Amino acid sequence: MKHPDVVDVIVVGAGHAGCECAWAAANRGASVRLITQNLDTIAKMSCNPAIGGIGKGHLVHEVDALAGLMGAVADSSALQYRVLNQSKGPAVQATRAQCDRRYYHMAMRKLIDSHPNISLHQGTVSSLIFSGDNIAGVVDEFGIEHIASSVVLTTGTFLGGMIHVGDRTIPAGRAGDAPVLGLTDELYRCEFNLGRLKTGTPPRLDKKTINWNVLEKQLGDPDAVPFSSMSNKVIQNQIACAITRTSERGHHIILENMARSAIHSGKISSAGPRYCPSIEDKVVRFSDKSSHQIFLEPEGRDHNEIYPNGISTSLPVDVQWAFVRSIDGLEHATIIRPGYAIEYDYVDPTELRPTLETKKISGLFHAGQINGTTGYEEAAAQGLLAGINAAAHAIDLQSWVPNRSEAYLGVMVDDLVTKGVTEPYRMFTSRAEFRLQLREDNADLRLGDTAIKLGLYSEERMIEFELRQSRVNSVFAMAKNSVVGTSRSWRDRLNSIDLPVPSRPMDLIAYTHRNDVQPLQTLRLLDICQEFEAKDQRSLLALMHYEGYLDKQMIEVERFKKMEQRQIPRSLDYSKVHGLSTECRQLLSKVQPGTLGQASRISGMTPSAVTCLILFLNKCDAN
Amino acid sequence: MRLSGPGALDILKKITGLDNIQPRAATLTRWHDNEGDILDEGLVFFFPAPHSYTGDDVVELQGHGSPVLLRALLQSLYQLGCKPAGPGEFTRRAVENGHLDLSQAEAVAACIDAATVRSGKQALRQLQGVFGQHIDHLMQQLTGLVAQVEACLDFSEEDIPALHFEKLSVQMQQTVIDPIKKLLRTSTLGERLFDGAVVAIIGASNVGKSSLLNALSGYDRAIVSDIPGTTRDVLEIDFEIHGIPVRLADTAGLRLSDDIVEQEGIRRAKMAARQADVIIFVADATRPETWNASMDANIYLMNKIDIIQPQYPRHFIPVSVRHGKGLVNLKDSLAQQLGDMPLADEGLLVTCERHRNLLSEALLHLRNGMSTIRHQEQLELTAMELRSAWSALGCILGIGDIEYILDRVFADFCIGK
Repeated sequence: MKHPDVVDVIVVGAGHAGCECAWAAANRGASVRLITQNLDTIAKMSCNPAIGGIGKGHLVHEVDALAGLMGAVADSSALQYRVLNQSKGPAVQATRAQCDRRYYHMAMRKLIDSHPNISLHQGTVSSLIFSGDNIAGVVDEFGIEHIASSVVLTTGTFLGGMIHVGDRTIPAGRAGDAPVLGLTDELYRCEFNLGRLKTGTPPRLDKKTINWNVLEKQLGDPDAVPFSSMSNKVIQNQIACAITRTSERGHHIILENMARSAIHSGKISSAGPRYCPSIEDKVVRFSDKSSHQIFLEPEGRDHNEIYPNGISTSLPVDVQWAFVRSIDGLEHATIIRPGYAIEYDYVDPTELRPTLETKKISGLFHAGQINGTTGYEEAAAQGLLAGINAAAHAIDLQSWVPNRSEAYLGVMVDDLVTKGVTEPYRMFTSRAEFRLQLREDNADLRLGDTAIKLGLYSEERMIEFELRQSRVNSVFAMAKNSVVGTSRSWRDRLNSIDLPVPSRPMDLIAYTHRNDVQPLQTLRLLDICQEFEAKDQRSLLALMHYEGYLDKQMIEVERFKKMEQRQIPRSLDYSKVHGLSTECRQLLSKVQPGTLGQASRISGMTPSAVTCLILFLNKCDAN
Repeated sequence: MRLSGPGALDILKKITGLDNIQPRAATLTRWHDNEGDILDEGLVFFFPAPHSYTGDDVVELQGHGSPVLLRALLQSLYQLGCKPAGPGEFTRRAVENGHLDLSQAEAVAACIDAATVRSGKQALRQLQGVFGQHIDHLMQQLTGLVAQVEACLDFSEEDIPALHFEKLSVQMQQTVIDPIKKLLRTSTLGERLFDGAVVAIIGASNVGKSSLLNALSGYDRAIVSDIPGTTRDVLEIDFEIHGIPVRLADTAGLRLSDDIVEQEGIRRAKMAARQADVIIFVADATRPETWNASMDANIYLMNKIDIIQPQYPRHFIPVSVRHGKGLVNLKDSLAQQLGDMPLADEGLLVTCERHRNLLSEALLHLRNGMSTIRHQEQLELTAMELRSAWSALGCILGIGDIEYILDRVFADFCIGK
């Protein structure tokens, strides 16, 4: 049958990518149907119960700045916050929150349910409907045809998912959930270039069976700033995590059983993330280390499961058991769910335009792990972008492509569609060439104007944003023009807040850079009566910290933008470009870069090939 | 005649009528135009990809060299779909196919343009990749440093060893900064080897400037006489000192003159001196009034010491151009002024301005990086400077990508919870 309601956008999958995608498209005014295998597992955290981290926290802030959900949902379900890299500069400082897994799902479900433009549907999509080269909808396993102008696939680890534990293999999208099987064949029929990737998860432990008394505690940061600019404060009754370590005896158990690991026995050949190796990988590759750290993270406030972060594994269950019990504090621990490795299908992301629309099928978008990424935050950010552009496609709005100088989202999408992936892609701050200006604290300041232009902000939020923008700008301007004096009244004022008196009057910003000055205190020297909000404070300190450097980086940004503004026609026939080597020609034809900047970043492109392209484009312009 | 590209072999088969051509061997054969008329007879070679100069299939033909027949051959080749190679195109293809790095490609041009044996040898060394390997080595050192810093920024939550700032700065100094400084010190000589140097001879009239030019060049280039004002225009000759190509400019004697032509000669002499890399001032030992230089020079010569040996300032080198005395000292001094230095390994010379500028840029970033390294809260600034330095070095070879650095991070550190 045909579903009686025709919608603008269909989102397949309701994980972290799917939810943001539906929300963003709905925010732009599109009618959205969110189809998922199981409505009771929406936004389920399949792996670690945490949101954020270095690079990832940046993405969450960007999602929030574009009126996405992840930040707000994480804030409402947080158990513990930590500010990472606190001893380093503001650009690399990042927030991470341990979240209550169950509550996270419920909070997300509640928001999705609340949106008038989103309707839910439980079903497994097995094939696609086309109209020429355009997508027209999807068909689920009940045979229901869902018609829409845009379709977004966010299949996660479900697409052709296969779990490996020792020598056992279980077709599954996640332990306990069935995989999606028919869709892979459909994608092959569309002649997409598919591949397989791998990821893994550790065994979950019973909280009651852990000897917490012998373990070091890791407490939260009460001063953390929440992810969402819509949240006020972080929760105050934070829950502690604990730290333990693997032992030599444990390593010995792993080494003895290495041949039985699914990863090492050769049963899995697909690539896993290098930055998230299994414990058996770590023991082999870094054999000189006698011990590896494990964080014991609670999965919920009234929840019995503990996530031992650091020991993801595909070893047989009996070895997992013996290994876990070789760890300090876990001598009597009970495994509630075994750890496992999972293989799944992904589509080469160079099949995509930077809007996340596929090049082959107009109106079909991909977001999340199907694009070869890993991580909830990476998925959410892509989902949001796909939602923005799927709505644009369906109801004829302006589409959006973030660039590398304005957002980590821009860095990620450009990396994906330009370079493709060889392992699951995760965000790092080192991937961003303009790291100093891509900070958590200014995500809303960077992206607010775009959000307004795309129609993502409510009236109220728009006003809020403009107020914050003018607050930060005016206070920073004031700070730049302020001088710390040496007069008697200055001396008294400085002494009263424990700040040193300079030997001669000096600029306030230079003064904040002195080793003996607490930058936070200097904000009190400004003639502003009201208290600073925590997020404003964070932004101002960052601006003062990088004064001078940000201007320097802006010059680089301008240079970068020049190359980005140089458009390459989508229909360009690269065989007409004189002087290109066969390899570069093939690369260019495959990626179809939208700009000269993107062309120059394709791996394998040589500077001289870029020069040939510039010459050719100049000649085209001249004609 | 060289053809490069995927169709090269087919075209060779077509014009020779041969079916089977042995790779990398000389084959004696005839070739024809498209009407089947013989165009020439000679040796042909086939170098299959990727083991050829350009990395594509390459075909070479050696004929008798008649320009007319050659033109006819070209015509037939164009009809078969060949395109004339642009300047340096074979080398560019070699770069694109990864056979040469950018500095090697530059060396090919330098090799062709080399004016002296020494500069030619230097270009060959660069072509063999000695210079490129050294830059590559420096980049690897830098990659290791960046990886340490980036690991500390992106993976501070992981169980990796803490960054030892003191050690890092020592490492930076010893493994990158010092070698780059050393390289930059060779740039004067390196660039002179290829760009040559201009040396101007100035001095009062009749002190023996033209004789000096003749003596250094080894033949009677300039007209020499006792009459003041014999040399009126600027006379230039090319020769070499210690393998460095030098253009020597003899100028009109500097004196007050009523002669309009001589006045113009004197104006030109001054201009030539201002543009020169090295100025040699010549004085006449017999006439103390010629000892005062009207402009600063790099080398001061006291000529005609065979006639008289007066007391003169110590910065003068005594010579007798007529008897060839002191000329060895002069040449050594000149070579020194041109930046010549004894080098154990001349492979490591900076030979062009582009390389020098990029190395200087890298050095500047490294120095900035050194000043931030002591403050942990500025570690991302250190990273920024190190990466800028790394990109600058990468520009010399024409490479650069963050993936190299991430690869190193993952290879060196146990990362992953």
